[in-house]
Amino acid sequence: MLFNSLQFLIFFPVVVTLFFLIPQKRRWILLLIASYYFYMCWKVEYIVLIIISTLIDYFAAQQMDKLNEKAKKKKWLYLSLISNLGILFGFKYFNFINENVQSFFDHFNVFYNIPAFEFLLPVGISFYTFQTLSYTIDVYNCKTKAQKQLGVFAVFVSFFPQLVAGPIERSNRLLPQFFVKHDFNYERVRFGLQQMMWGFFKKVVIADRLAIVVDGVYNNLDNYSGFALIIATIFFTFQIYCDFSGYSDIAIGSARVMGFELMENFKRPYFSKSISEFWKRWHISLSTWFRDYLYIPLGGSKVVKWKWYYNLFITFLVSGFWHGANFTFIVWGALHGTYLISAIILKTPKEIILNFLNIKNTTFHKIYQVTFTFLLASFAWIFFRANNITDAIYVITHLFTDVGDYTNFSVMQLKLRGLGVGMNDLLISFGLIIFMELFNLYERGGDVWLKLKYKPKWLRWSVYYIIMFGILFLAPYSKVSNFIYFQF
Amino acid sequence: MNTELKILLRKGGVFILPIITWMIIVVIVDPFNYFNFYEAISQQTKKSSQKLNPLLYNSINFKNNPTNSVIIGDSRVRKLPTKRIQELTGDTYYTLHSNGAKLNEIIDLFWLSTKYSKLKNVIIGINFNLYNEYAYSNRTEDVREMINNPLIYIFNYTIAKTVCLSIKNELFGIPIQKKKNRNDFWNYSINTTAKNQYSKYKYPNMMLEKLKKISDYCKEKNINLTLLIVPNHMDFHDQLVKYNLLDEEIQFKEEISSIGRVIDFDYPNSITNCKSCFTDPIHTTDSISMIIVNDLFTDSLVVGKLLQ
Repeated sequence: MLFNSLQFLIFFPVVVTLFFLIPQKRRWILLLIASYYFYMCWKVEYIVLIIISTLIDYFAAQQMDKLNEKAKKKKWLYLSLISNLGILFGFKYFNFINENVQSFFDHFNVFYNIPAFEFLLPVGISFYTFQTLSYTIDVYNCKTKAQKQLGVFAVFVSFFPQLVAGPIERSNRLLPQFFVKHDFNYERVRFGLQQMMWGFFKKVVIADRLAIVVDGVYNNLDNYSGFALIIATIFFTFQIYCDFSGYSDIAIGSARVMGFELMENFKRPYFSKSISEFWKRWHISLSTWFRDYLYIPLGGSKVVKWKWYYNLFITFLVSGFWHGANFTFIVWGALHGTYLISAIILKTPKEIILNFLNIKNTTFHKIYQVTFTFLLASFAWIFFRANNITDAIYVITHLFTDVGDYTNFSVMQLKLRGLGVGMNDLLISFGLIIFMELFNLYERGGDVWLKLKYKPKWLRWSVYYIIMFGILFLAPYSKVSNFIYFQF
Repeated sequence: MNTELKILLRKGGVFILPIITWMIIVVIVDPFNYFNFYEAISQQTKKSSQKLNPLLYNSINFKNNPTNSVIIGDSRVRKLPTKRIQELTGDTYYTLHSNGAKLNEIIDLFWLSTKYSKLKNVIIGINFNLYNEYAYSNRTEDVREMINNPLIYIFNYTIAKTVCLSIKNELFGIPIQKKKNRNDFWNYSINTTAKNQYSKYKYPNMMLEKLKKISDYCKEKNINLTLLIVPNHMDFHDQLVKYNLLDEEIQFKEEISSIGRVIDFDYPNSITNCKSCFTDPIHTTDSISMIIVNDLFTDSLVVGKLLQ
């Protein structure tokens, strides 16, 4: 089920109403049924995968909890890791690796014929797999206690607001919340609904509108160069942010309505002054997952320099691969790893130059840092969005061709008009991006909705209506696209 | 009931009130006769505002009153007199057109019409300027979605504009539109429209295949398919020389003649070199439209040429 569907518009109020009507003790049953139903609306059979992961991790954790010896515990941890990562590998990476091995052998005229795995990629598999994996690793490390109630644990794995695209929650944060009685609280419900509304605005108004240009251009690259590629790339930079942070807002908001607090996933990432700051603000639940379960176990930064660089690079490489079985994602991850390593290497010379120019921490310096980080992130997004490496190289090599040529601009206008995007639509899109970033800027001083609570009634309601009517009238409903992160 | 829940329901109710009011307004004003519940606004007023989206109006109208015979095309087929066609053939034709329709939209309109009617006769207006990869637009998808989902129709920016315009025109009268100066518009069409259409040309790769699919479908369902190339004034047609596209035009005519019956009026003839036969370089007058129809529906072609 999609958040931006009519189905969800009915499903959510029904679940919330029932949630507050039934006693706390039985609520997990409702949440489990609702979550499984939510997932099964997409594909019924694949619920089996969630159930398998749930059962294996539940029993593995139970066994680990009973044991004191690390070596014995390790066997159960391996069972959890192998089964979860095995399912993930089978559904997500097998075909990719198989195809590449095949072409490698073809190169040497060696016969190799293992048939492809003809199954759809289960929605959200990377998200719930990582969530449940973090649980077993935490139990192994004695950071959390094994959950005794299978039903509650099953809700933790499949909790519908964050099931298919996160935030990837930690067991010690989310699990205890299922045992707390959440009464109906007007203020909390209101904040939740407001956050959902803002999430919908970002997704259906901004992201879906930008997607028309981005998809039109990136799926027909031969027809475009210069301006169109620049605009499509900038638009994708904001599309992916609005799409994913929009999803996170709806997830966090809908959980909040029922009294659950999910972790913040985005903190105005395009205002970051460095790539390392960007990763503290972008997809926080995933970047902290990789930090805690891969980067630190590898040794983190408390090792010799080359090993530190290696740890960083590997972490981002794996993070890229986590996103999808395509070289484009691997390059995207590798690029970010390279950015971070370069930043460490160049730190001292940069300091010397800044001190020499005496511009350190000036407004100019901050604007430069934000702009430069934005451009680096946008450049990396080219690989993330391109359908393959050849396309990404085409984009990079044609970004600035014919930019000064008016004919190219008018051809772009013609082609965009063909996509149903006139100059007015482009201006509206840029306007919406500015509106969203101003909103983000205002958020810097604290939660916007909390600040708004103390503003005059007319102002509050005007904001609500602007957002609501924006959702109703500015969204391209005939071209609604799926959430980008569903594919991961 | 819990006090906090009462607050939420009360405030929520107030919050959605304007939205429900808007829904009621759209259903009552119903500028495109989508719901057909109640006629609060005269059809004439509606007509004045439907210009904001004639494609939607024509599609909904066709869905509400489907016929077995259709003429599909851009604004140039709009003037073909369907009454005269009925006199000649006994069949009721519906003109499913859109201003500035592109070939891919015309093809989409054909498939849309098959959803609502068991077609017998189809005339598709197709001229060379549409046979261009750059002449692409995608408005039919929006129309299809709106027809299928009333909520998309109600909460649509263009519909909102049309509703407001309908209400304004009903309250304050329909503003009289100033007639454009014929010579000025003539020159604009020759200089600007032709430039927009011909200065960037790319062979449309998929179009022939798509037209063939229509042709195959028509053969399978025993539908009479005619492709019609309406006349453009020679001033406009001669722009092809300026933009070096004569060979492409020949290729276009050859290719579409392989699809089915094609009647061509756009070649040097008594209509194309007569300025008074046109309201502007690409739209014929009523009397010429009558001649085209007579040619199309009687066995003897006087001006039109059968392409083979």
